[in-house]
Amino acid sequence: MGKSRDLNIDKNFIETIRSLRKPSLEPETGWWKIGPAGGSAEQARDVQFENSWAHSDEDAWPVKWHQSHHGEVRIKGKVIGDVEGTTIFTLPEEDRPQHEQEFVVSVDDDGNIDLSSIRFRAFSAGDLE
Amino acid sequence: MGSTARVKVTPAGEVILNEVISGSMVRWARLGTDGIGWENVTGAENTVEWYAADFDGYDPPGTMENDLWELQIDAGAGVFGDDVYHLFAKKSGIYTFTQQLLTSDLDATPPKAFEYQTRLQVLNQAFSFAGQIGSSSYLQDKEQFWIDDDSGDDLWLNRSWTIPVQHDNEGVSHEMGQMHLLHSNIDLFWSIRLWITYHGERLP
Repeated sequence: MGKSRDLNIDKNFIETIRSLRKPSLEPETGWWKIGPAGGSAEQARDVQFENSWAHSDEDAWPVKWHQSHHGEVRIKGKVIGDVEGTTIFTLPEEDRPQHEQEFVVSVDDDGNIDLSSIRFRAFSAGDLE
Repeated sequence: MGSTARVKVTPAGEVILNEVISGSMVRWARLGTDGIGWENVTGAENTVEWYAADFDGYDPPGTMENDLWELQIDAGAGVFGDDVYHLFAKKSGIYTFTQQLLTSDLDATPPKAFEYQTRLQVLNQAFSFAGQIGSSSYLQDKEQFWIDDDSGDDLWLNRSWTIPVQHDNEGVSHEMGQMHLLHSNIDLFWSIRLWITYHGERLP
């Protein structure tokens, strides 16, 4: 299918529709990586793993969090190391929800827990619902 | 195959592993009346197979009044294998969610309508599938989509609609929604959540 000359854009019709329907993602900037439990502060907003939690693979799936300009907090990466009922890490005050929220996440065959489905609106960003 | 886990984030910022659940699960869950968290009300989350669920058998107990209900369908995740394929094969098709409510559950004055919200989530995988979300009773509310995404990014589909309640002397019943999923990618984790919000306005 040819490109659309009328719209003067370098996309064909299908690509244009896809781009319109696909939710836009926040740019991958401003991510903060979780540090090792008991480690020293290496970044301005230092958050460390708690208990026996750790990155499953710090190179492949480092655990990071990010708050977008619109106040959406996202977490990504995989963790491993401890049991149910234990705290993995604690987010900074400005990146916390108003209410407790629960998320269903995937766990692979090796027990690595993927936190990438966690996202919520930070209370500090004005979530008053 | 992999499994799923429940992780919560508290107002104090704690990210806590709540529970790891092996295999797939189908369950009704009810958000707390204070809107915080939810409680499992079927009590069989680890034993119910996805394909065994017709949803007619999962009527939530108790009253719907002032509650926000969530039909939560979560499938196992992980690398493609026989178990996963079996599960996914059962997922392809048209699924109709129905809910029978007894008049007594609604204090003899059923609401005029329920509001539905669906969110289809596909995580971190290249995938393609087709589907429609909406009520088959109200064709204009259907949303059909075809997605072919190889970016590996998360993708969210959100849809909400309101359906009037059909009422007779035996109670009220209505079709909650219909979903038709076809998929060509097999290494994905997905969950569907169907939120049903009770509308406070009641029939006269």
